Amino acid sequence: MSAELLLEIRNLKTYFFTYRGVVKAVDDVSFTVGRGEAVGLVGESGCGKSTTAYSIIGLVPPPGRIVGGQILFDGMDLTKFSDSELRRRIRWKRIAMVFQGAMNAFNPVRTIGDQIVEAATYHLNITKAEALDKARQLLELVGLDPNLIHRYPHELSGGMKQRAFIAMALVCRPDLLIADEPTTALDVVVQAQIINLIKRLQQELKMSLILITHDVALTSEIVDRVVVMYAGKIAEQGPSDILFTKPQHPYTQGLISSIPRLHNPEKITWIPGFPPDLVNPPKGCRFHPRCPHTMPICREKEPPEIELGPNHYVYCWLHARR
Amino acid sequence: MSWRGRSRLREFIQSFTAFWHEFFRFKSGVVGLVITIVLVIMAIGAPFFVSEEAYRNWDNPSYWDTYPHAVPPAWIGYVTGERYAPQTEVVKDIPPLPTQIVSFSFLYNCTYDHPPSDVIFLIESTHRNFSCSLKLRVERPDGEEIVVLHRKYDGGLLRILFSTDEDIRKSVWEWAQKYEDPETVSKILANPEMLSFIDIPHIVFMKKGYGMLFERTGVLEGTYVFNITMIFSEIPTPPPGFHVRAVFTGAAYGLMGTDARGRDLAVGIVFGSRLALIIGLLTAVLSTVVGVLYGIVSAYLGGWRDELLQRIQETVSSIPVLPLLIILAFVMRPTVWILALLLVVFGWVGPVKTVRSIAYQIKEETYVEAARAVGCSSRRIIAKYISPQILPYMFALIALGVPGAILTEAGISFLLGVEGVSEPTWGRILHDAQAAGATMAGMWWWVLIPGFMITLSGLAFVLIGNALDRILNPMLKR
Amino acid sequence: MRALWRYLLFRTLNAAIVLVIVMLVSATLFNDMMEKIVRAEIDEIVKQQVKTIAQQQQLNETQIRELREELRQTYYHQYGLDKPKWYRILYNSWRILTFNLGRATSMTSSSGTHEVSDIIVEAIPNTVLLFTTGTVISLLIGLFCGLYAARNPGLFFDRFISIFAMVTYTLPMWWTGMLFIYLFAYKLGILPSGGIHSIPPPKEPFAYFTDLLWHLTLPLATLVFVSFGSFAYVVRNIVLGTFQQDFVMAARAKGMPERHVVYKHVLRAASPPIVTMMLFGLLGSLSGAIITEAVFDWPGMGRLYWIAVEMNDVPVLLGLTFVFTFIYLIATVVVDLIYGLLDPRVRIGLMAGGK
Repeated sequence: MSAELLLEIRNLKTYFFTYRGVVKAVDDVSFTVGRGEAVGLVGESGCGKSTTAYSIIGLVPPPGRIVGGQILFDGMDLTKFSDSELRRRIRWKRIAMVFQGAMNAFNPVRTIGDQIVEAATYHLNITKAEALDKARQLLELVGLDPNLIHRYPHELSGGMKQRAFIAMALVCRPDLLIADEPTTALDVVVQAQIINLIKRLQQELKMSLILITHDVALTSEIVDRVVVMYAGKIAEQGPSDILFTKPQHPYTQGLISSIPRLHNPEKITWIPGFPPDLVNPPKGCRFHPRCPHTMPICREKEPPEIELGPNHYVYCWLHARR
Repeated sequence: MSWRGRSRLREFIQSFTAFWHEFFRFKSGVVGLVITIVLVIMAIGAPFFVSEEAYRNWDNPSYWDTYPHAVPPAWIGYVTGERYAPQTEVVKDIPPLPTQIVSFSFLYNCTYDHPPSDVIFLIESTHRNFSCSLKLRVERPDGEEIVVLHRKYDGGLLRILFSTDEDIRKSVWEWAQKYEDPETVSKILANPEMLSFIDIPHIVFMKKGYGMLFERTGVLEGTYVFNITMIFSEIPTPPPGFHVRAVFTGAAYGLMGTDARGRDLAVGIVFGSRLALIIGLLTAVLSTVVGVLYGIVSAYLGGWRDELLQRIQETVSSIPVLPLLIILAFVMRPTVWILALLLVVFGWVGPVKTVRSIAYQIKEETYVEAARAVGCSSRRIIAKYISPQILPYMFALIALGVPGAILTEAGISFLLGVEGVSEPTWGRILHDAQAAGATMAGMWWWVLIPGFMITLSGLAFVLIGNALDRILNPMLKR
Repeated sequence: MRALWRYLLFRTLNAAIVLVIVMLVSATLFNDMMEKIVRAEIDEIVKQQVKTIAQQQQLNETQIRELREELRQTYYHQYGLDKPKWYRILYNSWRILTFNLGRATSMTSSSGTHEVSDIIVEAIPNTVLLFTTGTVISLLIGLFCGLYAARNPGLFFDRFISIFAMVTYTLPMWWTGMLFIYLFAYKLGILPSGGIHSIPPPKEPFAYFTDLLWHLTLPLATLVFVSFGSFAYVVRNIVLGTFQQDFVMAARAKGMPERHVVYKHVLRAASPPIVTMMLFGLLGSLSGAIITEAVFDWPGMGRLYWIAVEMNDVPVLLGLTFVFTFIYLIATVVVDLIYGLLDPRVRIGLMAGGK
């Protein structure tokens, strides 16, 4: 594995074994994240983005578990790690995660400082005083008053909590930061602030970033590459500028054209229908029931990975002729 | 029915069916429902299962005269494997005969490990114009003969009970002294109060020998002849006829046994289900409805009015309920209905806080704001927006409130034994049990069965209520 | 911390107001009821006395009537019945609120005094011995069982606890006591059927102590048996609910070991409602006191209450009601204080269920 690649996900399959049946939440997903690269993981709710993220750090909640594939992180296959190994060596130290709705991601009965210090003292082997100092620095880094370490979560606004959580995520200087819907439930102004903060931090600290969101427009600003997921599988992945200007997969096209633009007089469209049931997904290409360009083969066989350019892959029969 | 009405009905039926589908997913709730249905059948069908007349005569001692006292249920034989004397009754009509001596006998075949708990003779004469001396004799299978009673009889209704008649007790005791261990006899003579512990009717059926007074010799099996001879000083004119009833009360009786006063517990228990269900449901419904309304109104009004209403609720809920209830019950001697009312007066405080927070959340919703902007009156908002969301949950609250009511009523009845004021409830039956020292007298059936029914009824509603809560609690949906 | 003190002050004031109101209400209720009884008793006494005196002194009709009135007035004055009702109610309430519990009408303490405070103070330790001990044990067992069940949800132990909790919740404590007495005192004969010590109580301290324990066993076992199930179930639910919260996932993502997550996060966050529930459990045990103490003939406040009711002893009743309510309200304030210490959201002015 080249020194450029930090994370390589190969054919990851994560299934949930429920009483209704087996939910194939992540079904043969492969993509990479380079060192210092920002990758956007985009798709509708329920397409498997968050599950992919949880799979990376090994926190898929039961009744789910990883059933196949590899997660190669800095040369190590994380799927082979035990839970305690992941805990001690990977989580927070190398890979940190910022959650959707940090409103509840902080323990309400403990101070912010307490919770940051906890991660620091456990992973970094420093004293509590040193950890508190670090916490103060980090809060400043994200644009917050360092004295907030004495405050409780409910005393902070939503945006402040999200920033504080980001600060906490950075305490061990992780190689990879996964931001799972970091701006949902925040208002637009704060959203922009948080996204800009993440971008700035990523560049300053030379971290890799996986930004997970259903809001395509959000990713356009800060990621280098985009991975578009649909119904547990990847539809298309490639450099962000190409994907935004010339999307090749009908689903990506649908997503892009549904973004309202300020200056373009085009009418916005949307994708009809709704995401499939992951217990019984459609045969063949999972998008075919909603695709405007469905062909007979789409209903029968799953499309293969087709390389359209450097680092640009699409999974669609439309491009198979070449 | 108008189109709107019909579509609303369809909607209602749809959500109703959907609810039942949800409900049947909860096995515990279904179990609770089944138990409740059984109880309801028991309550409604009570007159078919047991005698209603017996129930109405619960506090009437003479009704229970010929019932065995303090005996276990009839099915105990299957459990212990021993033979228990059943309730036996023989009636003889002695036609009037111009003789100076009238004599007749009753034969009793005793092939049981537990003899009859009492022997009772009820003699009625056709008229009272005579006087005779009546002798009652027992001929035992071992040849022993006990002259149990020798008394003047002038006609009318004569009731002879082996267990309580002083003369009989004396006669049997004196006869038994001959065969009992002299040490035991002298001990009893020194402590005459021990005599009241000896079961005289049983002794009649005991094998003679040491220990017979305390039934350690075992039952003498065989045929017993109970002979009644009446000797007239002169032949009466006209000669009287006699209607004689001999009752050998069982060593076991009925489905649930009897209490110390001979009352068939099955009667009390089966009919008691009526009161338990009615009181439980009535109290729960009233207190829940009041509490829910209180919570909704308080949340809706907000501000200082809400504060005030909450302070009032807190005050009432910090009154120690049980002590106060006991005093009120003791002084007022209420019927169960008044007691239910009192329970409501203290019980409404329960649901208020929860309902209030739910109502508050609904109040903050935009559609309520919109409704107010449009000009909806408060009453309408409460009725059309807030209440319908809380209404289904209210049923869960009612179900959960029933056990509390049943238990509290049972507790108060147990403690005070409100006798004669109203029909017996299970709590009162337990009170009588405790007062009669049932636990230490080994009368397990008197204690076990009523308490079991109380627990079972409470349990049924807890199960239903829990299932309902999981389905209908609006907090869980958020 | 200043916010905490202010909050505490507010709650104490609240509790004091409640206490005053409760005493006023109780005094009114008791007054009305008991007044009737006392009046009737006085009339009886007067009737007897008048009869005797009239016979001795050969009085005529008018004199008899005058005498009756005179005697009645004397008694009314002695029992304070001649003062207006509101005065008596207020006076009684004030008197009790200032801890002057007065003298009993007929009951005495074991040392022979009529002082209500003596009578009550005698009984309190017995109730504490039985109920507080029992509740503490139930809470501890319930806490451990509930925690264990919450960490292994859906497994046999968890399901068993749920069912067990529901059954014991509807089990009347006093009835269970009767069953236990039947089983252990009658059938097996290994434990006494009631009372706090044998009659006569053993003199030697060690024997006295063991005798006490021997008598304590059955009521204590009953109490624990009936209570710990519901505690366990509530703890299980609270903890389970806390486990679902996002911050637990976040803590795990931070690489914290499971034990750390459970104790430092889940338990800390769940402690406010659990502690509240525990303290209310302690309080509820006081209420259950009355009937259960009656069944076991345990000389605590509950049984005292019952005796006072039977003997129409109003001062004792008022005193007991006061003590019950006082303890309850103190506990409420303590609960609020502890809750405030444990849950910072409450301290800083955010009250649950309203805003």
